[in-house]
Amino acid sequence: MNRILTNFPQSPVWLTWATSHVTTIDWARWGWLLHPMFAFLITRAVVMGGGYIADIAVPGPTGQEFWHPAPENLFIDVMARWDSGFYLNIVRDGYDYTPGQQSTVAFFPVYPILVNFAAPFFGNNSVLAGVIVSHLCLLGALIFLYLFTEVEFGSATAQRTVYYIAAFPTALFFSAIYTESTFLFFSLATVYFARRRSWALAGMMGMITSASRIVGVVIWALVLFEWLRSHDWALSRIHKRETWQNLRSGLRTDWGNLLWTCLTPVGLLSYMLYLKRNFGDPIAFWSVQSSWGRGSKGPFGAIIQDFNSLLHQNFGTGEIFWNSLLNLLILAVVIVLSLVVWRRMGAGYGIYSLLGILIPAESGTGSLIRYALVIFPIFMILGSWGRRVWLDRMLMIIFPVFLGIFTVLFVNWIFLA
Amino acid sequence: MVAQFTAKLNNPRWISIKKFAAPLAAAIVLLGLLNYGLYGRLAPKATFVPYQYPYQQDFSTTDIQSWIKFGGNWLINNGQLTQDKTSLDSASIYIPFSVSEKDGYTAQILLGLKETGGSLSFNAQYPGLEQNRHTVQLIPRDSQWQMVYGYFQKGSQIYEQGAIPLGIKADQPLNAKLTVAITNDRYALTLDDKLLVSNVPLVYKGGLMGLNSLDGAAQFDEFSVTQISSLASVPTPQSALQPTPITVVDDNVVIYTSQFAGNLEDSGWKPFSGDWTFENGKLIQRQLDGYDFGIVNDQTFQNYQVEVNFRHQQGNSAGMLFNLPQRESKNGGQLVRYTDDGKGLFWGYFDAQGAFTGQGYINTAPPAQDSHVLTVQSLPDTYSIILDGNTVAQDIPLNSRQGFIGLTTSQSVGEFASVSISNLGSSTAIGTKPIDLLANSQTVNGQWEYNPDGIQQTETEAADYVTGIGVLAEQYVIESDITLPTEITDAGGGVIFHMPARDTLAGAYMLRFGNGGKILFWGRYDDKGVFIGQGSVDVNLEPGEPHHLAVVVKTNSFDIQVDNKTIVPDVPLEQKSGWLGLISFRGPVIFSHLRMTLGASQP
Repeated sequence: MNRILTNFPQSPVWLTWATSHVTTIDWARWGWLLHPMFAFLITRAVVMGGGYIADIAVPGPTGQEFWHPAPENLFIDVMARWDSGFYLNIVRDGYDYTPGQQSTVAFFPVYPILVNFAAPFFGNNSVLAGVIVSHLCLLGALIFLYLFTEVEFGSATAQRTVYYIAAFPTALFFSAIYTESTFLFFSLATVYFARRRSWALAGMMGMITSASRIVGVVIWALVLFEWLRSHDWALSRIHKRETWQNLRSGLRTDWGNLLWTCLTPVGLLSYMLYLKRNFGDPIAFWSVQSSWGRGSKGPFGAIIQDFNSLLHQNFGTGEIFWNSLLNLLILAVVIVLSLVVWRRMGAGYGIYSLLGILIPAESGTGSLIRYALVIFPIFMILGSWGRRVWLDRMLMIIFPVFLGIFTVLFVNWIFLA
Repeated sequence: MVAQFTAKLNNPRWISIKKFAAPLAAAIVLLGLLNYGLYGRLAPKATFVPYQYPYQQDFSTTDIQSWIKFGGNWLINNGQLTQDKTSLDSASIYIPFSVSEKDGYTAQILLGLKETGGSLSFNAQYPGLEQNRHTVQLIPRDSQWQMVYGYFQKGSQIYEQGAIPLGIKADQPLNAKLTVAITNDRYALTLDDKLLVSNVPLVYKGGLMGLNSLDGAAQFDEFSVTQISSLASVPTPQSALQPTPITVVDDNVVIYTSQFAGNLEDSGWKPFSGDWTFENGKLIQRQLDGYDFGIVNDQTFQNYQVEVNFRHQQGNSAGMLFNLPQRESKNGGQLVRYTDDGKGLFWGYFDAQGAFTGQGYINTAPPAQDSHVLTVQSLPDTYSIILDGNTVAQDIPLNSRQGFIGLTTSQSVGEFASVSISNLGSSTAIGTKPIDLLANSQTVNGQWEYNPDGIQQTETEAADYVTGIGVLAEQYVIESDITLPTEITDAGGGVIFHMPARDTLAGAYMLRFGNGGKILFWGRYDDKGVFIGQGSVDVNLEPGEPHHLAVVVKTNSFDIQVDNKTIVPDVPLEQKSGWLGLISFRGPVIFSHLRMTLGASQP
């Protein structure tokens, strides 16, 4: 980018000014901010611009069920579809719960709380506040991802990783009134602080993470792994005597920090207490899952069910279950990459990645392409592999193209994930 | 002083506390923000204005956009509120006005139902409209419409406070005006201006009202809410919740409805044997091995109808006790229950020492694990038994004329869903079907044809032909019109009773017309089945004409009546009870207007 800008012939005044400043930027010093920011800006331009054009140029479905919360501002209206309605209802009316029916208790509270807090600053426009919260969290998440990846793999990998995740085909949900960016932000903050051995901050961020999403509390396991790792404990060394001696020593001298990590489930417990007090069912978020067609189907039940449906499709005529196809594909990819994560980053991250996809897959493969979006270790591995030019180019073409396509689908009320 | 304080601050222990305190404070602030967000910002909102009494809603020009809906497709159609979606479990719509906890009020709604149920929800609490609310449902259950009332707590399962069968077949449409009258802590229910139940405890006070379709479409019309000022405004039959010596109330009013919930000791039900518990709004006796397990209610009744809705989880022999003189045992009370083998129902009474005296038995279909409704009408001197809407026995003499109501099982696990008691006032019976004597008939020999208007034996060979009619009893009147053929001069017909088994003549008594109606004779079959005559009279009846024959069977004797005149009184009986049958000599012999009245009253 620098070379192109500096070689630009007969630059106008503003570009000359910009070029001179860009070239003088200390990328080594500010890379942690600039790379995430550029990834953010470029991909959001695709999503917001593409979404806007898709909404005005593609004749979408009409009817009462295809609602538009902000018809006066299509730039933000396009970011509110499907589950966004539940979040907006929570922000406006608080939670509700009707056993056996789709209820807002299924949606964890951190994102709606943030939107509720932010809305007064934007003229009580919940849609605008929701979009802004999502984007701010995404930017924060990319920064933490960059910092964390830099620690683990170096800055080159970190640069690629933030682009890959921001341009991932379902990354449109980072902009939407969905909880993806919030969850990614807090989970990455948790892991980053744990990796930095700032256990109090890790515990606090973990607490918010566990109240962000149904699988949020899984981050606790990751933090505990980091704590164990800080005391030279690893699964691969459990047969060695000194491993356990180190752990015993750590428990004796570092119990305070271990205690900090135990803040993580407090967020989930707070939400469960709220559900118990208001609706009498502390696991109401789980109880209502069946009304979305999700229910415990065993470790392979959902996969087999979707795989069977694939056997009865006709690619030639277009009678295919493309959602199922994508979901099963991403399931397979994430499982494979999780094993690589396990090997490269340790058992904690491998298990976290596996649980991140297998927990939702246990009740159904629907929406897995969205759930995979926040499993950041797999993007770190892709970032590492991206040093191969051919792979980097392939991903940087495929990801944004499909991001654009998926954005068009989403904006026009075609259920994606 | 300052130096001392500074030294303290620089103490390593204090420094470590400071290091810990700052993040702890931050964590507390963060947790506080999370909980403030939950409880302060995302708490379910209640923004409903109170009803302006009286509230009238005829659904003519109503805008229901702002009404709160849970599922279904709600619309105004021809001046009615309609939920027209048929393929769903239930749907609700709530009127966005609230009643105060202090308000006494009456809510009324017209329901139009066909095949599937509808209900009125009241005092629905916000948040959780669908959870914390009272409801009165009109639903098809056990092949008839029933009113089920109760409440929902936190879950989606109704907690039944009672159920009242409406006596309307479930396949008929139901159009009814439902009224609920609510006071401080009780409510009463009226259907089509007839008070069905009152003094039902109120669990939730104040809140919203809603209409619900259950398992399909439903129509609603003429909804109104009217304020009432005091308890006196509510129709109040005798309290069913406080023990009273004898309950005397208006005619045909439900005076007690079971509430199988909460603590058994405080519920008004007291077990004297067995393992009785409340589970999911039902009363269950779990001890399988053993006889005459019982539980007794704390009120006494006289001149009433008691209806028990129950099923067997295991075994066959559940039933009820009634007119018990005390709550501590079955002694002195009346009993009706299924037999241990499930092949029939029997009834009788226990004496003061607990010895049982049977008063009757009838074959029935096995109860299996289906729900059954057993009803007893206890009048001043007699009682009647109705099983699943069919009269089993009528006018049986009462050994005990008033007392407590109980439930019982033997060798079975019984599940009792409800007990409902209504007074009978001066009336003697509630309309029911007559005893179906043909339902369990069993031919022993001959060619018997069973038609709704009579039974005909067509075998013409010279022999006795017998059919058992599936009733075992002790004291009763059996009567029939008997038509003998004109062309066969020695034909005859009559009854056979106290048979030891349905197909065994040995030991049974028999009386019949003989010689084409010229004589009537009676006697008994010996141990080998050979008939031993005990007497005969000339009656000289015209063949080809129906003649009325009645036998009044008492404890130790029987009377014979022909054409409503007692021909032979007090023929001694050695056998106490047994099966009933018809007998014909040659044929064709026609038995019409066959009728049995349990108890030893005159026909």
